[in-house]
Parts: sequence; structure tokens; C-alpha cells
Amino acid sequence: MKVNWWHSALYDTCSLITLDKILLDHPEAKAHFGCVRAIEESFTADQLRRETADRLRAEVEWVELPGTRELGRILSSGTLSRALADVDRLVFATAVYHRLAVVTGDKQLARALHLAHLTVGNCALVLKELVTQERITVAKCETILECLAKRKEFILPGNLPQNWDTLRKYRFP
Amino acid sequence: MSNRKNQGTAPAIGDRLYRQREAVGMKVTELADLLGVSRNTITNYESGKTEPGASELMKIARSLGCSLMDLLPGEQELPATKFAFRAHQELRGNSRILASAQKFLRAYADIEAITGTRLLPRLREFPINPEQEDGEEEIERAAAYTRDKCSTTDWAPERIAQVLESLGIRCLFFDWEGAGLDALSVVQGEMKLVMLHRRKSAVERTIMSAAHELGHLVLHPELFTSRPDGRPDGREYEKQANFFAGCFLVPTKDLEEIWRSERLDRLPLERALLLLKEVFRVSFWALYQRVLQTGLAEMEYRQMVQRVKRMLGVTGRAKMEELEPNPLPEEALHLTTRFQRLICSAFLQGEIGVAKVAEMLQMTVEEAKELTAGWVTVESQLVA
Repeated sequence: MKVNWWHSALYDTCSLITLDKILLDHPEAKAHFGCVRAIEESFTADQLRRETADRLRAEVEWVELPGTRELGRILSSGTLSRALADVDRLVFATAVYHRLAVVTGDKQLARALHLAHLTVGNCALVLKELVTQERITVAKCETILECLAKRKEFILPGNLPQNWDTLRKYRFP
Repeated sequence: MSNRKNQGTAPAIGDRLYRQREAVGMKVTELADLLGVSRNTITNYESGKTEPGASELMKIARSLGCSLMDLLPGEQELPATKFAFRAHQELRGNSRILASAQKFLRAYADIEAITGTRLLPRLREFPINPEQEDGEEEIERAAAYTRDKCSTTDWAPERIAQVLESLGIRCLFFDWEGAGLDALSVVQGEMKLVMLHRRKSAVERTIMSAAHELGHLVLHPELFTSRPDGRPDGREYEKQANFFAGCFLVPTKDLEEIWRSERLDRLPLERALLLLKEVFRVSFWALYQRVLQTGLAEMEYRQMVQRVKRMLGVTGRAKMEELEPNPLPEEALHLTTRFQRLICSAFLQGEIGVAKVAEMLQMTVEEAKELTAGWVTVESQLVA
């Protein structure tokens, strides 16, 4: 079976929240996401609510941050925008250090990761690929998108209908 | 916890950590408590004896209100933040609030850089000696000049944030669970920021606090020292800032004109003040002070408190905010600020993501997701 790019990817905080919302309504979908990696800094009180953090802890595998010197070297390489949050800088540095693919919806982070020659995508792309690889049906995908939208989780541009037709044409970043 | 020996970067990190901690007046023990480490761990970091790991660095940045990048060597450091704030004695030097103010200052600088916007400094200072006995006329002139410089087309006390912004002062509302902190003003280089406590009631107090902070910025630039505990402790400063606020919100000329043209002297003073409140939309007590200051009427403070209590049907002891007749409704105060608008605009244009919104507004990423979902939904409604 083909190993997909997201199967050992590092998730940023926002993508972890999206994943949590998907799994709340569709726990069986967990099998499609493979090994979800995260940094502990995504789980602090200024990132996630406690109940969300508690649920997600059971789903993730921790990735260690690089040491301080490595962190300084990676972050001062000059490719990072001021528009990136500190926690996303840590995700970037960790991904670069461990050469991991990243699941993120943040365009600035995605651009920086592209420049670092790392694979990057978001939850919408994962869902799209699951359909195109026939691991889930279009109907299932529509249900997931509908449930997410009900939870005000717009994984597609919010001004567009959250359905397969939009997802089919969707590109990121 | 990383306990590696100095490998070349530690001294620089240590120096930066020390400077950032000093900037918010945080004691070593306070920082150690926040991080859950010993005092020695912090002193070892600062001396370069040991080096914090990346995770500890992030916690330190969060506790000190600075960015991770401020602690890493090789990055440009911003000048130390100068603080002054209007609060009770026990809050002076409260490093948690100062760290929050530092974060907001940084966030404001960030969002202006990201959106390519800059609020030009327009405020003229009128430094005044707090010991000066005949300073009232000067303060009144300063308040009148400042009010004239406000460029908002619809000047109104309820739009106090926009009024300050029109003077080139950045303004935002913050949540604070403790007591006694109504507002905070912060200066960093050319950036002047006024943070207003988002109150659930007595919004008149927020309006007055904003004008009071404006008074400090105009009259007392010397109060903004880089040492939070080094500020002179003078009630005169507070009195002058209060007087400025009164003159700014209720100009003498306007007050006298209404008083005379509407023959308010024929009414019991508390009734006259209620009518004036309809015009000036500020606290009853601010108007009481102004009427006394301008010599339009006289009444002892205790007598007025008794009358107001009678009017409101209050018996026994009461807090001042419970003694506000005809209070302005909570929703009267315009809470939107340029800061929020810039963040919303940058998010909708894809210039910043949810995590940055959370960092700037000092909320969790989950809360920021919900907030931004609302922005997106509004946008989609507009598009539709």
C-alpha cells in the first residue's frame, strides 16, 4: 500500500484542532491519518483548551524540538515572515530539523516550508487525496465537510460552499 | 530541562533573558515560579552557566511577554519598553500585566509592519511640573489644544478609542480579572499605547480612564521610565491627569454655555448634572467635579453622595460605580479598535494565520479559530 505524505507528518496547532473536530464526528477516520506528530508546545494552555488537549494527547506522537543552537540557526536563516506566530516558528524549526512533512493551513508557514524543500499540505488536501485514492467515498467526504462546517470549521475558503465540488478544485497553498 | 554547558550561544541568550526580564520588572523568583524551576536555574541561564532548551525558551518568552526571537542570538532587539500605568499601589510593578502590555506592544508593531500601515504620532506634549500651583490654566489649554487636534468626524466619549487613535495613540481593550486596574499607558519609542480594561459595567469609568491616560501622555512624559518601580509616587500627577481628563471631556466653555443658556442653576444640582450627562455622556461624578471646578455650583461631596444615594434608593455602603445615576449601557462603548481591524484585515487577506491572530490578541488558538470563523462567515455573507 502506498504510504501517503501525511502519514508521519507534523501537525500545527490549527490542524490538530481540525483533526480533533473530524474525529469527534467520525472517529473511524483515524485510521486514514496514520501517525499524527505534534510538538508539546501546541498543547499549552495558550494554544488549546484543556479538554481538546486531553483528547488529542491520545492521538499524537511527540516530536522533540531541536536544541537551542539548532533552533537559533534555523530560525535566523532569514526565510521566516514576521507574520508567523512563535509556535509556528517552532513547528517550522522542528520540521526542518527532523525533515518532516507538515500539515498546516497557514499560508506563511507553508511558504517557508516549501522554501525549505519540505512537503506541506493541509487537512483539506488530506481529505481530497483520501477521496481520489478511493479510501473514502465522495458521500463520506461531503458528510465530513458538512459536519466541520456545522462546527464552524471551514477547511476550505470560508466564502465558498464546503462541499466536494469546491474541494475537487482546491489547491494549497 | 536542558542542562548543557555553555556552547557559545548561552551568554548571548543569558544577556537577552536578563534584559527582557528587567524590562518588565520581573524578579528572578517570579520568573522561576512561572516556569516551575528553581531560582538558581534562572540565574544560571542569565550568567550563561547553563542554557535553556527550546521548550524552556518558549516558556520564558511567554512569561516575559517577548518573542522567542528576542531571546535568540543574532536577532535585532527592540528598545526596552517604558511603562506607566494608572492603578492602585499594589499593582505598580505587576510584572504579569507588564508582560501582557509588552506582548500587545509587539503585536501592534507586528501588525503595522505586516499591513504596511503606521499610525503617525500627532500628540503634542505639554510637560508640566506637578508642584506648579497655577498649573490648571496650562492644563486646560493643553486639553483644549488636544481636543482640537482630534480628527474624528463624530467625536463622542463612547468612541474614546477612536478619539485616541485620531491623536496617533494606539488603543485596545484588555480583560483583567483583578481589581483596581482601569487603564494602562505604555510608551515604546514613538509608539504610545493605551490599554483599557473591558468593563462589564460603569463604562463611564473606561471613558474617564482613557482621558486620564491621555492626560499623563500629554502632561507627564517623564513618568514613562524604563523602571516600572522607578516612577515617582505623586498624587499631584494623578490630580493633574484627572483635571486634564475633565477639561478634555467637558470643555469649560461648552459647560458654561449650556449651564447658562439652559438656566441649570435653577435646578437642584443632581438634576442639573443628570441633564448635563445627556449632553456630555460622561460620568455624573466627572460632571460634578467640573461644575465645582468652574465655580458654577457648590456642594460638599458627602452631601452629593447622600443625594445620589437617595435618588438611586441605595442604603448603606456602596461602591462608587454603584452610585452612577443613569449609567451608560455597556454596549454604548465602541469596543472596536484599529488594532482589531488591522488584524481582521490581515487575516482575511491571508497575510496572517489563526495562530498569529491568537498570539496577537492573547487568546488560545481555539478561541482565535472561533473568532476568525465569524470573520469569514461575515465576509461570505457580504460576498453573497
